[in-house]
Amino acid sequence: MKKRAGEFLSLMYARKLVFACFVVILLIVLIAIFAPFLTRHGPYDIDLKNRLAGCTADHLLGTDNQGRDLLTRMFYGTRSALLIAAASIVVGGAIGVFLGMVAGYFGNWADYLIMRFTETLLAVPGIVLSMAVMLVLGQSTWNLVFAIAISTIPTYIRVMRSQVMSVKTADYIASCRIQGGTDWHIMARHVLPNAISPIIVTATMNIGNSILSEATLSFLGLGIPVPQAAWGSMVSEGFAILRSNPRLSIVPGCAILIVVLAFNIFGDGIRDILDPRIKNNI
Amino acid sequence: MSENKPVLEVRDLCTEFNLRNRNVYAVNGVSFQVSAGEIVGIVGESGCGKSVTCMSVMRLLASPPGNIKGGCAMFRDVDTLKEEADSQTMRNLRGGKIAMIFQEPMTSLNPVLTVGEQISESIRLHLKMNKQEAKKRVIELFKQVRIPDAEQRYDAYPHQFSGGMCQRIMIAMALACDPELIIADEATTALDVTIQAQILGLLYEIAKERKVAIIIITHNLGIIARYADRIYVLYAGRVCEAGTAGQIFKNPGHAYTVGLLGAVPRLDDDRERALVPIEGTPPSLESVPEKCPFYPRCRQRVAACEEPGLPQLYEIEPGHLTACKNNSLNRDVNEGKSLERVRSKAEVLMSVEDVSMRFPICRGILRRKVGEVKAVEHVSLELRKGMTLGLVGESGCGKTTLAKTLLRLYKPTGGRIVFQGKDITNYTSSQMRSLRQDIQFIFQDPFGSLDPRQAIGDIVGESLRIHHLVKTEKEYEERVHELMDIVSIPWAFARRYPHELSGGQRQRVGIARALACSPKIILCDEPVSALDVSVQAQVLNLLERLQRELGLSYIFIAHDLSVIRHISDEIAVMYLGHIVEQGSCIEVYNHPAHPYTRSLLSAIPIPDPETERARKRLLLHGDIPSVTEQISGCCFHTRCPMARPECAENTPKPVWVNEERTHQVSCLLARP
Repeated sequence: MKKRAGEFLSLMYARKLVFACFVVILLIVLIAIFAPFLTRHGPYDIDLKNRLAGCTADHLLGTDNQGRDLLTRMFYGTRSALLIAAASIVVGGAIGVFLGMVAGYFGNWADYLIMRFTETLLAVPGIVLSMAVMLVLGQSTWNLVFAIAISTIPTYIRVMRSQVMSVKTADYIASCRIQGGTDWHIMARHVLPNAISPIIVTATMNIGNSILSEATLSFLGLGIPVPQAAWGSMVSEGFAILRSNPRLSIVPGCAILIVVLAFNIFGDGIRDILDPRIKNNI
Repeated sequence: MSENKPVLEVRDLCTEFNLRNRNVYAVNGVSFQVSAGEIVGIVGESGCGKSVTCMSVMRLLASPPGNIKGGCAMFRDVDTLKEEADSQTMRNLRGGKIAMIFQEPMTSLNPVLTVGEQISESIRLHLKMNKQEAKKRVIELFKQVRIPDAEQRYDAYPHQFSGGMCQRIMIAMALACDPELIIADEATTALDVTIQAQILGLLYEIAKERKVAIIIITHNLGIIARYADRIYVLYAGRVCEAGTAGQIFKNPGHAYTVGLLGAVPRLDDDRERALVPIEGTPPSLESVPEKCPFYPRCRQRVAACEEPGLPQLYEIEPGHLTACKNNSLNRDVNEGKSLERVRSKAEVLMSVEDVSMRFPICRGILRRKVGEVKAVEHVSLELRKGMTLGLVGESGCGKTTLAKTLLRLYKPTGGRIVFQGKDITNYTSSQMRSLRQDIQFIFQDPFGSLDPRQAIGDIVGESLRIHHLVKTEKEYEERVHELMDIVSIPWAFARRYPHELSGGQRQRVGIARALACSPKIILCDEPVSALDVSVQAQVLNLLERLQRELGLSYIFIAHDLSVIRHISDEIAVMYLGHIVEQGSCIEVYNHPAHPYTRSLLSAIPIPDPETERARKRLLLHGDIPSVTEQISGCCFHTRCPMARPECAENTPKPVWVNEERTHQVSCLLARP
């Protein structure tokens, strides 16, 4: 295992861009974890005397229209972006993998029902679906997780279903059935471990999209409840005074850009590294 | 012929593969030559460097990782190893003067081009002909390789041909530019025995009539014995013996050759002969061996073998070279051992009565049934306790479907399956689950049948947990340990994963898994056909030992009649879903009554050129009909060399051939 991890890192190092993205992601995760230690201000510390202050030694990126330190809010925004994205990936992945596995393994009417459900979800653009869910369920962190998750479910269902359909024809599945294994035993012990790797790649590539979705919803005021720091809502707050103080929107906007790009390139890289056909050609 | 200048002469070829973290020395100084009109056989197990040798000579080796280190390969006056792989000279040679036929005929042809276009393409390229001339030539070639309706077939696509026909097309393509050398790399391995006999016969004629040099690369000793003039035996990237077919089979000069001959069951064997496997596995070739590469597995090593230095070839009789340092080899392949077989009429364990399995073919939106695949038709069999029932037939004859029906993975569409007095035909899947302990299965493919994500120990012990056969963790470990012992897999392997094991070891893990819950019947679906001959014998011996010790009954499915003959007590010959002949093994082999059985038997080559040349052949023509076709009367009449008009009208009923009622045949021409 240790050897494989080392091999993985060396493969990644061979691709400079992927490795750079990996470093960026690592940095962002560290910022999210150690946010309180990186700044002297709190994310909700309102200082009305110092509204819209420029860059000073005390406020490296200045303050917003309520006098809150922009850099501090950026750091705390990292937390919500990563947490929401990770939680929605886990929730969406779990539901999608389960449904996809059932559809692929049993086929027939189970497949029919699940695939029609998937197509229904796909028929509505993801962000519209998330907005609708948020409007119906109301604003809360968990509802947000669910709203973002639901738009990613179809991808997982489809990836998992096609994987399961190819895995289930393997001899070792027939062998387990001959041993007397039940369907659920076969699915848990044999199908899932053999079908999961593309799901992991899909999930990595989805993190970027989920962060973007979260930012979009927050920008529209449907995301994280207001006083909490979120990049999307910060862009939106600065939007009204974009002409006089472009900094307030541009800084969180750039953060979104960098993080989403980093995750997408990293996800692509992981897919290539894990693909044995490409592996030997680096 | 040897006084002619050879067409191809290879000297001291060395090829290695530079992989990311290791080097593999695939070929280490191979020399051979082939003259016009001569068929040279290169024989060896997988990984011994047969294909790499030819790919290096053709400069078709992917580089990197392949790397030709040294040697020369003189084709006429060109040293192909000195040329650039992609040079004009090489491109003119390949497809022009040297042609190659690969193992997989279906994937060697481009599926989106018609076969005619594909061949005429290379003709126009090499012989500078125009379209009309090329087409004429292609049709001429098709006729030469005996493709029926050559004119009409010109515009057909590869998927419209069977495997055997595709291989004929490949041969036509190889012949297209009048090559001087044809390399056939396992060209008939994927084909059925009767088709294999046709294709090899065709190659033989081509070599002799057109004076083309042919190199046949194969692992099958029988093929070599029948068709090759001279033979090179390869082991671990080196030639260990070279000579004429007669010399090598009659008077093998290398311990490895002797071992190979002892490891394969032969059609003309004494049935009681115990196979002598070559223990161990071929070396990994991660370094150039320092002494004889066969040394660790050799049963006949002598003091001289200990000396460092690769053994060199030396002549033991004119034209017969060997690299074995033991010059007093024991050539008796039997080693005096013979099997004890218990032969008594035991109770019937499983009986199959008139079982049919048909699959509907559905088309259109409404999934209307438009036809049926008759995979198994009216099959009746009996399996007795402690006996082996051999099921033999060509691919697509329904052997595996029958096995899966017996396991009740399919529900038969007709007939009855009785196991231990209970009719299990209509058992539900949960009723079957408790029976699963008693009927187990060994798969053909040792790579696909083990879950790559499970450790060996878990694979072996899985069914113990499923059926709650063990109560404590300690009991479980003991049982897994015991099972691994039985199949001689070291206990340390329990934590390893399938990809770390060799093919033979995996197959033994598969056997251990099947044994886990002490079954009464094991269905073996081609358990040795994916293995190398030396390993094949290990697995066959293991199966026989287990039968003796545990009183198991086997249903043994194979297409290899020599293996079936060796292991079975009773055999059933299947053709297109029907059992055409069945009876005790000795009866069926000694007095085959059905023309299909006879032609199958005559299509199997025996690894002994003298016996081989003296045998009478019953060659079948044409291909196996598709199972969706409706064939009236006897299912075999379309290919039967003895068919009479009534065969197309009346369906034959099984009749007893002998008075003891141990041999049954379904043929209108058979006289009881």
